[in-house]
Amino acid sequence: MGREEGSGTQSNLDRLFHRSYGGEEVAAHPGMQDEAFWPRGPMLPGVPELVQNVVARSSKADGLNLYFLLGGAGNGKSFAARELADKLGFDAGADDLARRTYTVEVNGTLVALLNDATIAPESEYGENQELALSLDLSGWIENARHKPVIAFCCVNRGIIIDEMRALTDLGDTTIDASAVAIMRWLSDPTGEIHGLESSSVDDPVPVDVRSNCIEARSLDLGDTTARLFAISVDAYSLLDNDWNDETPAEHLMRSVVEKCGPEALARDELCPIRANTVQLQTPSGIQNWTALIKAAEMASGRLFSYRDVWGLIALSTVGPRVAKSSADSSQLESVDALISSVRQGQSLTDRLDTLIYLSQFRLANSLFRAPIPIGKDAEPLYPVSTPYENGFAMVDPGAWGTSDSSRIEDAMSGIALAQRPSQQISDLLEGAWSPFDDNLEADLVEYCQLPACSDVVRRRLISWFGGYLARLVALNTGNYGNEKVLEAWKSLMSATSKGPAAVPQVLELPLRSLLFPRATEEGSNSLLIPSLAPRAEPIGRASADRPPILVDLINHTSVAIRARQSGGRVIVECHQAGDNKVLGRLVVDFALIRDALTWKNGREGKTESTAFVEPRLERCRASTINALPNTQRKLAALVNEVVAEVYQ
Amino acid sequence: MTFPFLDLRRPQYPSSPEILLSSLAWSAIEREPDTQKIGLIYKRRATAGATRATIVATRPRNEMLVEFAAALEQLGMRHDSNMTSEDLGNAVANSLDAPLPLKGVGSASSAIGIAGALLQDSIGGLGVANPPNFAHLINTIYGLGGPANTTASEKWYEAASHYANDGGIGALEKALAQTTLKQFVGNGSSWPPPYTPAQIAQPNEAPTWWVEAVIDHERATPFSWFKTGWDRLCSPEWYNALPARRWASWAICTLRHGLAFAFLWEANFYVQIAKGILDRQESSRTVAQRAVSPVRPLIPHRAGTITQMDVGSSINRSLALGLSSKNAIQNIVKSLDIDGSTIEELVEGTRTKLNDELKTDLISAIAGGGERGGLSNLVETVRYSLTARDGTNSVDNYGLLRTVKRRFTHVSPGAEWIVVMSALASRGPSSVLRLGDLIQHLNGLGFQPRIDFLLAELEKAGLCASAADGDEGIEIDLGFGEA
Repeated sequence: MGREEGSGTQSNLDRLFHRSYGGEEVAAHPGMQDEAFWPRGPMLPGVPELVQNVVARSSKADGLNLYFLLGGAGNGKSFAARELADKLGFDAGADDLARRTYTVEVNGTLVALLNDATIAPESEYGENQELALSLDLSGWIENARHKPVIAFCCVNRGIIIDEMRALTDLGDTTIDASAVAIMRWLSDPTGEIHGLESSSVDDPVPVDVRSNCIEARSLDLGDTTARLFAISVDAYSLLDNDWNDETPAEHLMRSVVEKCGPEALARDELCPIRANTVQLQTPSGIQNWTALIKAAEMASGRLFSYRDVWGLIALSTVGPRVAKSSADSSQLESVDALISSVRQGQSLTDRLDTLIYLSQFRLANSLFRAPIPIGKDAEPLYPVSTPYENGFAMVDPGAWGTSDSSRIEDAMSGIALAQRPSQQISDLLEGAWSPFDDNLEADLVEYCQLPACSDVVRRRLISWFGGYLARLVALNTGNYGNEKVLEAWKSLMSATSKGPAAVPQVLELPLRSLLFPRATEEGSNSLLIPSLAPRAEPIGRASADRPPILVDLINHTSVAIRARQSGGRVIVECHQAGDNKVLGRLVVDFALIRDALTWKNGREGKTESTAFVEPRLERCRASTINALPNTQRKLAALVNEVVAEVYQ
Repeated sequence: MTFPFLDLRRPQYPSSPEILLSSLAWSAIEREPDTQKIGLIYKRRATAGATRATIVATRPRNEMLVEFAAALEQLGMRHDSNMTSEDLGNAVANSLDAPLPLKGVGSASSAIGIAGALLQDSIGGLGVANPPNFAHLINTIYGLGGPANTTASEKWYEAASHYANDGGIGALEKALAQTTLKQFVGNGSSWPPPYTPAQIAQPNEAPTWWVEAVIDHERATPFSWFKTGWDRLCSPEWYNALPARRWASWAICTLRHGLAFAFLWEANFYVQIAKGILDRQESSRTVAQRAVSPVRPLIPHRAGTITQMDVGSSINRSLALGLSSKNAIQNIVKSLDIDGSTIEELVEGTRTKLNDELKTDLISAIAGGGERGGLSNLVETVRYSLTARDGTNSVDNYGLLRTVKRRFTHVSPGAEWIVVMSALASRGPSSVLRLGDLIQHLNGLGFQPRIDFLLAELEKAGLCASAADGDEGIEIDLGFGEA
């Protein structure tokens, strides 16, 4: 059962730290109640309606009713199962460990909660563990022949893939054929259900239009019928703007800051954790934080789950988990001990070392997983990796620069003259600059003037502090690295939010030019591809020693592109102008947009990701050109750099 | 009758892998009888010395170029006044060039369509009068991969005919048939010529124990990997989506991997049987399972230092032990007249009859001693099949291995490797393919890569379409055709 708010001796910050870094109560299950202390985010679009539908149907169900929440860990599937258990009055028991299934009979209807399809105990499934979900389905289908059955299932899609493979490997099994058909449908719920007769339902469940809930048609299972619902719980961003007042991520962060704020503010002024809370409590603090998380989410190419968001909240408030000074102390106590040593008059060298060590708890440092220069040689020490670091790395102002970069660089040059950079950019740091930062900067500037500070160490310290300031400024102003790429990405996502759409102007020409670059001659509308080459690599610069070859001559304007969203990613589709049939596809990600935006005045540029994006451009180009009709793809010979058309 | 082992004949690797596809082509198209002993190669290396066979270069040049250009024109390929007919002929001939290997008697054509593949053969590719029968070997590997009423050669013919009839290269095909190939192709008056399977390329029937223990149970092996992949690649879904040259390149990549892993699998098979015969504590059933389904990856690749990442020495050792074990076991079976209808019976029968002398031979064999004739050809076949080719005019995008600092061989796939492997794991360009499917498919090959290795390769190639659930649920978008 749940504990009362604020009960026990654990501080709120410790509690947040414990839950965020592997406490056993991290994953919800029907047998466990949350402490009232913890704020709750809304369930994902469509999920509350499905939960409500199960409750309503439990009193008047017929046949088999299957509800599937599909998605990865930490997206709130078990949370929804627990909500349902509460509403249906399950006596799940205060289990310490999650169970796979919980069942109850409500008004003659068997209601089964499949809380976690990944847990298939050997005691129940024996040697058929790898077919557990299929066996569950078979059992429910059999039960539904005698009484109504409702099954609410939380399923990671990987399980479906594994079971489909096991079904193929094992060949004939005792699994009901209808269960196999349902499993096959679950592997791609957008498709048809093969192998079962189906008809449309009269009373479809109304769900949030933002959700991608799919209600399959009513299925004929012989002597009973089935209704199927599948919803992807990971297809919607917790950082998008179309939630009611604030995004779920913003709501959770604001609640945590409110609950932990008094305790954080009571800490020593030199505490970086206190500094984080003060910064987040500024009028635009949480708004800027949310904007950064959203930028990192876009750059990473995957949607952050609730579990990710909780991890980011912890990183931003109490900092990363690090090795503690003593096994008996909490991380907060370790931080206190370090602050105390700074207060007790360490030498300048030791004090700076301690402050730099403590800087890893500052949110601007921890979110970006910035290394800290440690020891006498100021060697970089990297914090533990996080699942989100790739996205943050792509928007890191310390690496990519922002519109404020030149001012920060100018300010940093003052260190050589013992000047404090923060004083020159105080307007950019207003509200974010803390006593901790101030002490760190003062000691760093002073240390850099010492003859004992070698050139190498000085360079490393100044370079690191420049990044530290850039990240702090970015969190305060909302200007992150790769801003133009983010803007273009946003416009692409926005344009495709309601289905396939034209590629926004900012990207249309650059993407087309990457895919189908024109021949080099001025004003040419033609694209030249060696006809029988293994790869569709356009012929670029004229080359005097190129032997004669056959080429495909393609009119640049004969191919059009459009974009659509798919599973959280955007796909650019190539088609013949005036015809909707897809000829080639291109997965769009941050790296591709970066590359596309280097296009200028008809010429593409190069980035460090060019080699990374080129293979998919080539495949899409090859597929598209191969599918073009001969009227759009003419054969020619390139002889002495002159293109001569070949007529057939 | 003694126990019937699988019949994988010893290979010799050609310097141009296009020869593998050409062997299939010549096993499906009738050859003029009086030209059977003449070798064909597309372009003869100027510095190539005398060979033990008569070899003809099929690349149109000199008078043949004039004839070829005239044929192109006659077949409707006209051009504007910016160039001559010979220019066009030259452009076509140049476009058919495959990468020029650093060694060998010459270079092959890219083996596109039917005529492109017929421009060389194994006599010309290897420069020997009696080359290995690659088509028989490939058809055997295909036949061991699952129930089939067809051959790899026939499947190739189906796909190649599609390209031969294609408007774009159809005229080139016919022009080649009427000129440079005219004296070699029997029945070539109409193009494409009819499918005429060569008897010597027909595979032997799979032993009954293999059918019952492997094929009937759909157990994944490099043979099933090859058969599934070849069937998919030769299906309309794929040949309609791929340009001719890319299809040929993917086909050659598939042949290279099928060949190499079949021999690596065979090496493991014999080593496991040899160990199983000697270790009487092990049940014969376990021995049979380990022999058919290798417990460890056939190429044990891992991250680490440049030395730790080397897989060359382990490949050499596996093949050496496999070959010595094979020779020892086959000698024992022959000497003791051991029969059996299952591997279990083979193991138990051998355990019962094994005498001290033959036991000593077997112990020596699994330590790498004993008869190992043909080892260098076997090692070369496997390593050259998988290693990125060094060419003078292009990059090999399809190799799995790469030579590092001349001494080491690392798993380091070329740019297209992951694309081909993903494509072969997919039913077609438009089918939903997930990482789990790819892992399963590669496990059949015997490669068993780590998930992080595959993910890195997929990300590098821009193939990951959706990573909602992570792990095996990650969707792979091949980028070809309609989703």
